[in-house]
Amino acid sequence: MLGAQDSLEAQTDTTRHAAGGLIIGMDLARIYVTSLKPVNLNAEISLGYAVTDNLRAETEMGYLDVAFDDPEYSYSLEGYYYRLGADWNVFKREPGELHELFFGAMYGFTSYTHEASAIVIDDGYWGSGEGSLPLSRNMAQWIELRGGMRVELFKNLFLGYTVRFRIFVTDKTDPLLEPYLIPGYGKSGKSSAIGMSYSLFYRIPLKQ
Amino acid sequence: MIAKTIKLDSVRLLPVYVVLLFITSCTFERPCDEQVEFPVNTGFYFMDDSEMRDTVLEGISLFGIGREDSLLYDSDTTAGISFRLSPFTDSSSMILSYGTLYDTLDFYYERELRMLSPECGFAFLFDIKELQSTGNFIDSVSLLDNKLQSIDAEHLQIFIN
Repeated sequence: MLGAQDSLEAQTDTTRHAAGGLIIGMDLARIYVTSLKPVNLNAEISLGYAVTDNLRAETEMGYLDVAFDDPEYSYSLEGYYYRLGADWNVFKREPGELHELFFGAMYGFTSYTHEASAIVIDDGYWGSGEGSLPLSRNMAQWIELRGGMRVELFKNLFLGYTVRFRIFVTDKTDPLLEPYLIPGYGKSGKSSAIGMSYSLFYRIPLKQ
Repeated sequence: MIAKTIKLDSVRLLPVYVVLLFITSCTFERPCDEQVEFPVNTGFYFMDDSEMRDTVLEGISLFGIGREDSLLYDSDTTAGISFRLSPFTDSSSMILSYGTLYDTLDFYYERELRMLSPECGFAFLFDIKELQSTGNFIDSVSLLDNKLQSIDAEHLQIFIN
């Protein structure tokens, strides 16, 4: 009830502007992804700054850890990913409102390591044996076109989603081992990918 | 005021609808549609007045040295055979028999373990560096593709005396 009052006050404070706000976010969808095998951990945070009422500069950083033991092989992957870009709000706000309906573009980059061990090779004639592919460091870059919305639930607390269309640009990958996932991008071997985030944001009004 | 409340509630619920869509979305796995074995496809030939002709041989069999208990290839009549190199050593020696005659084929190669794709798994790829043969019924051998890349192509030609 108190939250609703805060929200109401926020909505009726017509002096508020988006510009000058520092926005810290956490992607809640990564919690869901972490619950999916074989992902051990996927976490992502964001930091944005509203340059003007409609233009927001945004940076995101995430971490992905994948590991599994199959009868055929064991695999592990670990890496950080980063995105840098800007969003443009197209939502016509009432005075004091800070909701957003936005479109934007980002540059994405990841650096990760992966390896495979206990790879079982079974040859019907020559028998069976094991091999391994040692740890290798890889990188990938992509461009992301995105759109979404952010809704102010309570004063300065926002919930929102972002739909992301990713276009693969370049990579430097291990030719012997395809990554299970490219951190921050998705399935490897695809020239484009669609992703989604569902985030909670807190806005710190640096100036009004 | 009522209209404004309805608008705000709808806007606030939109992210909830989207997360439900996200959770219920699914992915589709691709089937393995790549070459997963890299056999040595071999054809038999003979030279007829310096002209190369293919030939059909009767009573051909092949087994690996160290695996004498099991045949790699056994056929009554064939114009060619297909067999695998050992993925666990850097050389494979085989005995090719033709009727009552026997010859040895010695392959020396480099191996590379790699993931073909997540769907198809792993395989050893070969790069044959040297091939030697004895000459009881084999006249000579000619390696056409030392990397055995295409499963449909002929990699090795064996010329019969």
